[in-house]
Amino acid sequence: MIAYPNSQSQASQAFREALAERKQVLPFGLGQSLGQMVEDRHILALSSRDLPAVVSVEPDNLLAVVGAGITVDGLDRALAGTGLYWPVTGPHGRSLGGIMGHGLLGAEAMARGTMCDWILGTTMLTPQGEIVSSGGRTLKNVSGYDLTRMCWRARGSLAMSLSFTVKLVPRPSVCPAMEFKVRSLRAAAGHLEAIIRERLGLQALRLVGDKDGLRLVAWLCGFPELVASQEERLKGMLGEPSDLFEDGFEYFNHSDAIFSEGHGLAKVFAGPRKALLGVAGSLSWIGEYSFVLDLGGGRIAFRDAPGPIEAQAAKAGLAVISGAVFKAVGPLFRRLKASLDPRNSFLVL
Amino acid sequence: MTSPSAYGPIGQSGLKALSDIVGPGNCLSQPLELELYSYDSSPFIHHPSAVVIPGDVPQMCQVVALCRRHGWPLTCRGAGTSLSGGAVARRGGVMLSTTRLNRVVEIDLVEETVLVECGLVNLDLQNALAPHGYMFPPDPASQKAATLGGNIAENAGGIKGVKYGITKHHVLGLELILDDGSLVRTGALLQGHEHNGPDLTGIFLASEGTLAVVARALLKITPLPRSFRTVSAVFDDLSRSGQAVSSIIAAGIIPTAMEIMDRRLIAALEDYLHLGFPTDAEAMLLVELDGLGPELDAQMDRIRDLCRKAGAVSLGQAATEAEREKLWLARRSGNGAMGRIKQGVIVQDVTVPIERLPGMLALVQEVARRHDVIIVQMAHAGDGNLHPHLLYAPGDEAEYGRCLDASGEIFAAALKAGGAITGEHGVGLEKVAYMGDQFTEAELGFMAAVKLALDPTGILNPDKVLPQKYQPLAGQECG
Repeated sequence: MIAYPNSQSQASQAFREALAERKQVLPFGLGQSLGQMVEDRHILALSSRDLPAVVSVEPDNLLAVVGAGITVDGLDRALAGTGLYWPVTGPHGRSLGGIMGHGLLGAEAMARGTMCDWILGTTMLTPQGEIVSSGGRTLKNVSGYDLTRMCWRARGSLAMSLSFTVKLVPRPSVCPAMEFKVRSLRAAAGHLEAIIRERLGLQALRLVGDKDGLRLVAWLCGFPELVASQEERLKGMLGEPSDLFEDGFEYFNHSDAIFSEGHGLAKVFAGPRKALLGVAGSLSWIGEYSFVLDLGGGRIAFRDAPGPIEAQAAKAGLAVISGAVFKAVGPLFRRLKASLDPRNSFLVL
Repeated sequence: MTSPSAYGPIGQSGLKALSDIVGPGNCLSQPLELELYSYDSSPFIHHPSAVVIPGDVPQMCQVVALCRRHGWPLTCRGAGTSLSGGAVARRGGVMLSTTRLNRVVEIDLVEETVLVECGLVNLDLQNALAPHGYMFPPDPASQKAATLGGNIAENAGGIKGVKYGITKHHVLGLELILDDGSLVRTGALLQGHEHNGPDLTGIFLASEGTLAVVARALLKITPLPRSFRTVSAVFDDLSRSGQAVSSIIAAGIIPTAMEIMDRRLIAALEDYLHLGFPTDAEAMLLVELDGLGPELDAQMDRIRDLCRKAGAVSLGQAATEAEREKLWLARRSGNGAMGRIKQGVIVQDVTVPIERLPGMLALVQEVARRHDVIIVQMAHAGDGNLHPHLLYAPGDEAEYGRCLDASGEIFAAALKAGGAITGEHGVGLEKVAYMGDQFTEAELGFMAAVKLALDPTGILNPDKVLPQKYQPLAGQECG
């Protein structure tokens, strides 16, 4: 059974009714990760899709209050004309609540951090069906425990996000992406390390390998003078770019899809930069399959990857992201779940 | 909640057990020794029964486990710079000093991370990173003494918060000691498949040592800026300096720092440091930008223009690095300078949304008049973080009482403006009575469930963050 409440109080009511009927509740946003769970009559799938998408936009306070079901694109549209943006890219089509629950990263994580770093406050539904808030409307706020961050990557198992107060920043004047051809993985690894050590302040840095060869893609953002300086320094290190994309947002949003398609289309691993490079380099890459190594998000996605990749990734201590079963490992989660949700009202997938 | 019961006494056998773990020279129990650990930078004074100074993480784990086994309250202390009473042993018991765990374990320039021990001083980390061209952006005014464990426990902010964020934005993973002495890792310190579970790092930021003990932390490091521009604007009205801040933010400019100092502070600083500040000014606003030169010049021109429009009567710009240092030395010396006015101080740190800043600055002035107390105002204005300093003469109970009343009114005004009672100093003992004003019963109950999950016997820094009725254990003084 699926419920699409259109207000927070409706969400609370639906949740309480489900508890009264001894159902477990599965919070979800737009449903990309929902699978077949909704067919289970003992489960209520509770969506944030129809909650009010935009409660307020306050340019003077650099914030907006939005429903957990809004997408990054939807938020971007709501901010049109304000000169502001929320500096978290994709994954495309995912709700903010979904990004929070799954701990999804965009390419810009290198420069901007995770979604959590751009949330000032959250309203959430507790396992008792109560609506509570954490954080607020200011950057600095240490009153009480940070319940927002507790929900990061918890897949709605501890609480369901209903709305977020998001922190906004001025939209950069220019944000191009530059692509450079690279001879080999070994050369690419050297370039990546050199670029990081150069401390250029890039928005994102990515290595792409496919039938067209190996390319390094750098995303630059900021004032024209800053970006021009970054461009010159990159050219000094890598030569002339093979391609130039005027809108880095569009390029990275589009190419981020490989990280979102976690249903057998691609294998995605996460871990430290050096380990990711090691895995890519250990496979004697010959261009028969494609990959994207995203240094910002600390992740690598292989399409049509051969079997040895999993073994190499495990050996390097990388985490398997794609298609991975949520593992509520560790004493911290077990203790929190038992205390916050003793009736196990929120389903742990 | 569990039923109330008493905390256990330590006694001679307990002291011996602690001493066996950390060594006799690192277990203190003499009255004079305990006196030194009875206070932090707040007005609160409470004596621990014993102070232990472990030399490594396994010793820390053993101490925590021992406390849990015997029901001894445990308060962690870095440098004792808490302004809210976070580092005083309200219930006596064991104080765990982290000062011997002060190493930079590893700087990794490819990952752009640093692994540190909890007792490392913030400034020592900055000094270790600077030769590599990096910094750790959180820079609380106490950074010369404050430890990173303390910064994490309080989620410390600082001057650069506007652009670079605060401690929680730079912590990638933690190594934590739970109440039973077990060691767990979070975030980027997790291994392999553990990444497929929740990342609970964030719940420990600003938890004030009430949920676990931080042993080590993996921190994100940030390239040092290449150049700076620093401008000072003088105003004949305090709220106009706040209007300048609001208009700079509204113009879409995010400076590195925007700091407001009021008339009393300017005068005190001039008396203290002799920097040539205009002692007849009502307010001074310092604005700093960092980045690349051409980009900065264009923004700085705009900032100067916005300050003029807000009513700045004069503008100056640091022409050299020495002049810039002088301005920031002044800002960082505020607390010391205020000691020349009165020796007792309660420092508040309420936050409000940026557009409410001018009104809040004016309201604090009005509160000072009404309660007949001296309130010196400085503010990390760019993030809406006010620092009203309420001054009193130690021993003057009536004046101290008026300061507390005025504090309550400031808290109420901040909440009414959509802000918070504490932006970076923590709830500690000082603001715990006001948590019910900011949060509902359900919200406090949900937080209490977090506390109960991780500290069911209530030994970890009792009485902090949550009001008494939400504490897992209503203990009593430790013997």
